[in-house]
Amino acid sequence: MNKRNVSAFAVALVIGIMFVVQARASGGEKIYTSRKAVTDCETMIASEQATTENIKEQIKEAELLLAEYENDKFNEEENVVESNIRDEWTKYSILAGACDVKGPGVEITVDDGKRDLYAGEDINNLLVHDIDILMIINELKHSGAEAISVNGQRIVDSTSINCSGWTVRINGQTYARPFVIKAIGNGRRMVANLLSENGYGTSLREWGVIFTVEIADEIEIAAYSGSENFVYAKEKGEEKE
Amino acid sequence: MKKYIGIAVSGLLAIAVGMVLAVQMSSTAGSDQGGLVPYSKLKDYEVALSEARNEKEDALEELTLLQERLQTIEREMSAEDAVLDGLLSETEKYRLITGAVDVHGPGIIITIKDPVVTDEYQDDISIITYHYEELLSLVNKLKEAGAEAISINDHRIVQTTEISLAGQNININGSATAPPYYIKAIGNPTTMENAISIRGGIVETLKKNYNLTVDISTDEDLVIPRYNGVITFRYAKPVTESEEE
Repeated sequence: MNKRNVSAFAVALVIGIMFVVQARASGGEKIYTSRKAVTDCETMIASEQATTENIKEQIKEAELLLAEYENDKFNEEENVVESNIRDEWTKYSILAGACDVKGPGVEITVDDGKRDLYAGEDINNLLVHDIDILMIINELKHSGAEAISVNGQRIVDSTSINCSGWTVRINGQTYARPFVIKAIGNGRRMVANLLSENGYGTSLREWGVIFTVEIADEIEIAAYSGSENFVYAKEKGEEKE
Repeated sequence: MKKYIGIAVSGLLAIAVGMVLAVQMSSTAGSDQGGLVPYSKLKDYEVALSEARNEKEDALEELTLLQERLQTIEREMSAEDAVLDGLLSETEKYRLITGAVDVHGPGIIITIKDPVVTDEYQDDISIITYHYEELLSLVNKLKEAGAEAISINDHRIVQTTEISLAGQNININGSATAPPYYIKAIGNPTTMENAISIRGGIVETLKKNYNLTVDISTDEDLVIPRYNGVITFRYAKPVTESEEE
């Protein structure tokens, strides 16, 4: 009987020591991490590498252009520099929203739902909010939209869209429902994404909000009416002031 | 009587051991068993990631230098042409406001971290990733408060930027990102900070509704990197009626 007690005690002692050893080994720090942390890293490495490849392509193009520029200096006939200045100006003025643009695209109308409310349902379910417009614009950009306007206001880099009571403020101007969103780009792709199973258009319709989208061969979008001037942000490397 | 004491003691011991085992088993049950990775392995990946980032930055610097050389030639060769010279200075202005160059200035840095994991919900689920529309909303609020340049994890937010969910990660400008998120914004620091931290505002929503850790710090001189993608317009053409050409 005494022997049995001793052996039981010995077993318990060993197990107890094992636990302490295990607790000490980790030193209070994490010794394991989740698989997600590793896959996140892998995904980001792959995407950084893809970006680097893309930048290297741009470097090659810039080098070619530089060679052409050098050539241009001794050649009166051709004028690569001049045509490139014009191209760059066109590109950046479209991007900055400084000129009217036209092209194929889509026209979207979003309006508050007209159906009756269910018993006890919140009216907010049927109303269009700023986040809805933001999400539609985001989805359009994701589908490669090149120029976007909401109720005639060009969406530029600095554009914010905010609900203020019954109205929505875009670029500092006030608008009310319905919202007409125009986007120039690949119409089929934009419609497909908006109306896919998980598309934002589909989910708005499920809420009961009115959402229509039509492909148009030619859409015209007006220039941004405001002016953008940086007060705080300065170009890096230019320390004149 | 002596007989029973021995049995009682070993019985108690068995119960104690059983409880310890049970506690340990239940504490590992929540995490995906077999899916755990040694922390040291993650360190290797982190090193590889920072190497990939450095390589990208080097390439970008090379590109920026080349573009500067091109611009110098452009300026030299159009010095006598007033029209071209005008186009050049307009392009330069547009490049600044559309995010084509690195900028610096005063601003704020907002850090968003996923909630600290408790045993049951392992960090395989990222709260902020699944609520990426909150990032969209935060960017919108910062713009409303007058932010001039914004970046999320050093990806510059430009006119064409989308923030979308791609698998387990948020894609910004087509690049995959992961938490924690660092949002930098150049502008009036006080206005921006106060605008987003009003009661019931975006920061409170992030903290209360999603249990995220949000920190705001101001910086006298923030640097926000340029957009590094290619911009091409395949569909949109400028309307040229009374305009040039």
